[in-house]
Amino acid sequence: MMDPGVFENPLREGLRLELAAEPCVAVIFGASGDLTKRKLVPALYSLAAQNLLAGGFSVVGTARTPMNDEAFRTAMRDAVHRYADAGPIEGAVWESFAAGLFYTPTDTKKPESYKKLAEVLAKIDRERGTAGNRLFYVSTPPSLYSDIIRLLGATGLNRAPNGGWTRIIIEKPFGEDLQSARVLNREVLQVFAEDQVYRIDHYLGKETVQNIMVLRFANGIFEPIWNRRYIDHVQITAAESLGVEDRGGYYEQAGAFRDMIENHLLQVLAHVAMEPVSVLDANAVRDEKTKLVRAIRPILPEEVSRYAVRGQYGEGLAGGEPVEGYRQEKNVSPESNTETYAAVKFIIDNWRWAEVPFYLRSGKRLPKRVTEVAIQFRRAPHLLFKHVASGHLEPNALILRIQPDEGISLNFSAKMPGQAINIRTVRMDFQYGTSFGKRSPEAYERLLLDAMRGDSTLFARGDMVEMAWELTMPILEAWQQPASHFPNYVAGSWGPKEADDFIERDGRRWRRP
Amino acid sequence: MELKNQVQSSTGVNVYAIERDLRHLWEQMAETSQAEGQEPVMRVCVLNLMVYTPGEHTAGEVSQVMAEVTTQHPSRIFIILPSKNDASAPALGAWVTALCHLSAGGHKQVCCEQIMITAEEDAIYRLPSLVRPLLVPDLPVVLWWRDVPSFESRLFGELVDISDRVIIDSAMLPNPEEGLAELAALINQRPQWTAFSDLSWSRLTPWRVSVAGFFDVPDWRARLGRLSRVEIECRHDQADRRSIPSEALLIACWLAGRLKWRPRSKPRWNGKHTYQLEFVSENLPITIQIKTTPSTDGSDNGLHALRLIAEGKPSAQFVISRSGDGVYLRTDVELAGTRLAGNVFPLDNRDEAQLISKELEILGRDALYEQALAFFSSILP
Repeated sequence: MMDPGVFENPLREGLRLELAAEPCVAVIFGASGDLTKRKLVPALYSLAAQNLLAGGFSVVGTARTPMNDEAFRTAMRDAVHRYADAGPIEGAVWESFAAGLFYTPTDTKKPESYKKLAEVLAKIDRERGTAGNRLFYVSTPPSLYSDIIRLLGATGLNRAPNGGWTRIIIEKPFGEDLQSARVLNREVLQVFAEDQVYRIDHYLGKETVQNIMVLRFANGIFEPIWNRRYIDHVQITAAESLGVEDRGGYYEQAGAFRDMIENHLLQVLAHVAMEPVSVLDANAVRDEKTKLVRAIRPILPEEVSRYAVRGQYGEGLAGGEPVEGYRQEKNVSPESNTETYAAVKFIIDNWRWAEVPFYLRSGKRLPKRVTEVAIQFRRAPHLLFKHVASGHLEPNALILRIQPDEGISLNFSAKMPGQAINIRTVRMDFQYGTSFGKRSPEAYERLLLDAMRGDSTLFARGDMVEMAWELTMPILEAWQQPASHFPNYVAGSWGPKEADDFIERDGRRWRRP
Repeated sequence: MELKNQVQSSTGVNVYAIERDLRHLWEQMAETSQAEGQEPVMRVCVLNLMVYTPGEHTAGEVSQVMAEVTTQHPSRIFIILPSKNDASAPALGAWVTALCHLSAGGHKQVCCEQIMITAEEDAIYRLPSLVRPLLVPDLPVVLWWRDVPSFESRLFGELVDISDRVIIDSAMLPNPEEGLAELAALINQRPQWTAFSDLSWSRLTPWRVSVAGFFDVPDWRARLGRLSRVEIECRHDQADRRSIPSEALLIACWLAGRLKWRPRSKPRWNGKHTYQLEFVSENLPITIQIKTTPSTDGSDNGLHALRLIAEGKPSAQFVISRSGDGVYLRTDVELAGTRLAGNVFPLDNRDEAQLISKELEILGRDALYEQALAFFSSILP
């Protein structure tokens, strides 16, 4: 996963620490937005404090809001103070970091703004030695993506001056359906080459998602049983205890399926189910993930009700407190058709996974916040302990917890002490927090650093993004139909009864995470 | 994380007694946490860590370091220390202690155990046989020799034999030039699976990363071939007696070795406080000057500045310097007289607990360290 060019530096070779990036300027479109304050600048500051950014690294924030460099620095200092999780701001580190923070107001639809931006960048190159390297980060509302990309191309900002590099990170959502994703891909690729484009899915920056590959491919014991012969099914759950909060406007357009399953959970599924790669290289990993998504059996429009379930929460109790239903939330239509819960069953038509269902579910206002992958193994083939009620003999399950309490658990049966044979399911737990007392880097730290280093392994490639949309469109189209049964689950419960019926039809049950 | 609890008991010394006391300790911990409504106890162990320290006066410091280290690396800790011969007391003594911290979420007490073993000088040879059966199976064994490295001693040799990784601090070597050469020879003789770490090398990590970072920039990398002078400034307790800190020797040898510089002459003193190493690369002579100044109180020992100077047009200077309070490193680049933006970042390896924690993250051999040592041996007079 390293930039091969770095090996040309004889002093870099063999260093244990992660690679630092070349000096560059990160240009953030949407710099007055929440993501910049909550995630991007705190992540960049944290990288600076770990000496992972090169000297001269600079940030140019840009948005409609009029502001000068000083005001931007003050706002970012407040943001880092409030949101960075790597400890308090250190004065000398901040001063050095802040000296590289700049702001230029932009009207994203006007070419003049980009010409001015180009002048600012050229000045930074001269004064801070950033060598023409640029990392554009598009975190504006999606409706502005097209203009920004087109005008970056029209003003020549898609090509780096002085032999540097130019890359662009595009925030999620990448399109709102197959057609818009294709259009956006086409627009992006008219201006940038695929290897300049980094479509971000912050789930892939999470340590535990990366650890799925380590678990599978750095251990000898799992891969031999990682197939249809030993695995009965897989459940991937992303549950939220909160409602939509202030995001009602966005969520009305998105819904649970677009917001979580189409991107995050499908990426997690790809990590769980992909074939091993022969080299740890961005395209090799992304090739395997794409092959896996291609192998998922398409769901025909007439089959949607058999393979997917939707739900919307009504009022209920969350953590003992009464909470409103979705339709009563701010910026939500009282007749909303938007799903706040979605579950889907995917079948992967390949040699390894034939007939092993992958159940994916995500919802809001569920009892707790948890994201996990549960690998449910087949039962023991011969019931030796006949006097033990078979219902008490749980099949083995390997649980990969992505958040919170990141870790891995294995459930297995053990004899209780005593003269009789009484069997109980016990749990063997590994927790990152207890075995490694070290802080895990924030997903954005990892992803920003990777983009600066030119490593796109943890970013989605255009073909996979389109394939994911292609796979999920029949469900989204079917769900355009009004849902007369909404709301169909009580806030604070584990989702609609239809979801239980859906999995029980297959003789299985949802886990209670 | 907060140090939450400590339970201690003493025991007569044999393996079974220590194991019995460990069992009692955990039962007691579980009962106490239940009875007092504390967070549940979770026993965690990711490695065996043996620490040799020369006496009781340093054992307290080591225990404090271990309390910090185990927040990141919960381990079975053995603190091994010699004691004076005393006919009225047993030759060996042992105490077991639980070290507990609240987990990150605050839901559990993460606990591990520390076994302190004392041995009278006459009984010190018995220590390895006592420790060996108490090692947690299948987990790596690390030895931290927190004393002047004693490469010839029987105890050192036997503890090294059961270790996967050995951590020393070459800053403690009375004569770093000789000591580093002895260490290079020792590493050469050891089996492949024993790795060696040196806290002095560890202190250099941010320096080496920063030096490498300069030359990640393709334009600047071209200047590597035009380096003509390297200046290393360090402070040292023994600066007035012609002794060079091992850190300075190691970074000089790392640089010269990585850049394939060939020695032009043997290292020599150039004045009272300057040690000079001369090399040649592609017919260009290169001088490394190590300048030592006496430290004020010992707390400011170590590297203070490193300057890489490339001559020719445009000239370039790459500088790393430590702030006066020792908290930060600063990097600067000057090209053709123009100073470009640098970085300031906090040093995260300033105390022993931080250094040891970082060392415990690595299990394999450190090829670069071994290469730097071997390079140094090869240029010695």
